[in-house]
Amino acid sequence: MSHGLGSGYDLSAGTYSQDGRVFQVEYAAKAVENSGNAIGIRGRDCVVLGVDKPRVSEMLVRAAPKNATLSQNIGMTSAGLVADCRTLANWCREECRSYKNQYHTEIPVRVLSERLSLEMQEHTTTSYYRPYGATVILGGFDEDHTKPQLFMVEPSGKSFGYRACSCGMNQSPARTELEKLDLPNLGAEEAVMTVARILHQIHDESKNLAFELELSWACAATGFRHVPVPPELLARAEEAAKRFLEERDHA
Amino acid sequence: MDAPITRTLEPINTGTSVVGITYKDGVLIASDTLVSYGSLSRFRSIQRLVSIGPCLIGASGDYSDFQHITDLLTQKVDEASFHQDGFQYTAPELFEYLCRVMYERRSKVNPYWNRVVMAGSKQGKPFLGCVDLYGTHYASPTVATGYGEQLAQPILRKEWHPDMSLEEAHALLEKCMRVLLYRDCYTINKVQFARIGLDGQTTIEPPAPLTGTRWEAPLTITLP
Repeated sequence: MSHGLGSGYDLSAGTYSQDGRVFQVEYAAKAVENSGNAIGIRGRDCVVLGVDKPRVSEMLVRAAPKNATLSQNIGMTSAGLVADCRTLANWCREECRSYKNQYHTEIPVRVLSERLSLEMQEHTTTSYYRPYGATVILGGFDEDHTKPQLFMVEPSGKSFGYRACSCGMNQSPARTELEKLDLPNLGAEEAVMTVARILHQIHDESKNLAFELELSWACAATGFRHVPVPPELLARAEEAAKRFLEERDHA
Repeated sequence: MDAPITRTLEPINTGTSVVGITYKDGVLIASDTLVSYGSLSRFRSIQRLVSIGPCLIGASGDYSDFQHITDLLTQKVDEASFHQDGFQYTAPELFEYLCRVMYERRSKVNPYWNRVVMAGSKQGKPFLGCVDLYGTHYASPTVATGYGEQLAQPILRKEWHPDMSLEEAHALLEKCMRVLLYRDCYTINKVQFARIGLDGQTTIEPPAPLTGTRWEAPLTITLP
């Protein structure tokens, strides 16, 4: 090793460092931490997913959608390398489709999250692949529509169920805000307002680029389908979020 | 020993005729609710008309193949909706896709053993099409499959006109279903109607027996 002690252990996911780490996985997590923020919350009979899309160019008319519908009742949002996020969205869609083909029922969100985490974990085990540089938040309903479901899968393959979760550049301030919420009693519209507020709030703190907000939800009002939040509600949520920030600054 | 590859050589559980016509405000189709097992009237309460996204389909022939076709089309419609770009298939487009699928399968000498009727609308005009197990397809304001092709189609062609009201269309199809009930061995007196409006609104009526049938011995009937 001509570059000094400890170097050369980060070239592939198939190599451990001397103290037993796989650096490639940590780099993948870094890729997520350098990207925009995504939030998912599970309220009373609803799931709301939100993401902020940094305005990469002044000439950009409208950013491409980032929240994806995977099956009728399941959606995802993500943070990290955009291309990896899209690949994972398509991978999930295919998984939902093949599950439905085989079992003739919609894939439960938990099963999808487990399968996705296996896929992502597998990419951390050999030198042939690099890990996915993306964290995925899956939200939605199972076919019986009884309970909202929310899972987050990280590049390492870690996957847990959450009441609320966040990922991206400002995941910790977002989590602090999420922890203050009374989640089991949060109605769908209220949840939309909250996600918009938090995304604006955490963005404000880091004072960087302008951004575009994208929200999607699944609740009784949408027939438990995962769809984008209607533009009218989105505008109202953004306005309320901006007003909240102004009032806070004046106080 | 290597056994030769075999295909479905005959359908097992089958549905009989589906008839359909366009009317002023959409398309109306009808079928019975029977799925036969050979000549046995085995499943007597099966809904054979299905609403899929922008269209309504019904089929005669193998029922399991029809179920599979239903799944294929549902998947197609769903996948388009996931992309959230506002694009939706129209009935003629889905029909074209279905025709390609049917032709592909006949080219593999392994056809879906059906004759499928598809109803919908495009650009404010009603659409009604029909495709068979060879992939032969056409669109027409009157369509009938199975035995209905022989018995109902002549009646439909004679009595159909473009500005029919829903009531007139209903009465005409009822008349066809009555003729089929008299003459088709593989049908029962439980009939279902379904319609799709020009706005894409689908209504599937609950199945009901046909009224106005007459079963007196022919000699005693005085024809009007």
